[in-house]
Amino acid sequence: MVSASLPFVVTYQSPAVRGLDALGDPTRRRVFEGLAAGPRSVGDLAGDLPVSRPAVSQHLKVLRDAGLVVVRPRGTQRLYQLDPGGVAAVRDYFDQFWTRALAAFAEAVEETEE
Amino acid sequence: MTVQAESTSVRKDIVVKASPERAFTVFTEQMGTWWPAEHHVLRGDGIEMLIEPSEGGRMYDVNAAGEECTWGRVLTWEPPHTFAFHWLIGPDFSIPEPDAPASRITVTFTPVEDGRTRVELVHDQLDQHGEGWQRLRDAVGEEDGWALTLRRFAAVLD
Repeated sequence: MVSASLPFVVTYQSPAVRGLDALGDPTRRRVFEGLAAGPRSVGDLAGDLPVSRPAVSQHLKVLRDAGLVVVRPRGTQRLYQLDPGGVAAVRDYFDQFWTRALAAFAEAVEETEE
Repeated sequence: MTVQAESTSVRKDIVVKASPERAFTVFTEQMGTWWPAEHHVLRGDGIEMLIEPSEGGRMYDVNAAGEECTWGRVLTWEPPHTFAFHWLIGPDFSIPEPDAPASRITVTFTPVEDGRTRVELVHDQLDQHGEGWQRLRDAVGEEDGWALTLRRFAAVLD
């Protein structure tokens, strides 16, 4: 089970984990947030941001490399969107965690029953 | 495609042999008795989990050395029916900043037959953990047991 074998201390201390932070750049974070409502093109995103279109493309490349964003063609356009697999990983993680935590909770409640 | 609400939330329920009052009390006042031990972000011995029992109250761990770590904030305190809180810990389970992005957990306690209680837990707004999500993905790329387990888990889902 995921949560049972999670060595969170190791994860917490890992330089690889702490060093890589694609969202640490404020502009890149805005690019990322600009995709929250749905897929958009580079030009569309650049229209909302005080940076050039090539700069937006570069930020999108970093976000793609970090696994946060995916691109797909639609007609002649390339649309960028948040990688649903990324959120799914978080969701799956908590799904496992709460299954385990609630089972332990039920045991605790019933142990204390008078 | 937008990220569906369903994909950013987790919903669980369990029926316990206890009244809503007792279930609420054990959930909130005795959290340390059932919380999975490896899921404390604070290190050290004798960790207690404490909740200030009102809206806006702090939820925190304290260890025997007196160190504290705030990991949640009470949103709704309506015993014995509803308990909701902001969850500040990202999936990397590091000590969160006070202004860390928060997801939300809502726990409801509903009486059912035979004096039992259905406890339903919804953990939503998980997409708020954007940064932690990335760290989780980084961690998955490392060659340790967790990465392997997560990959196996992902393979089952595919």
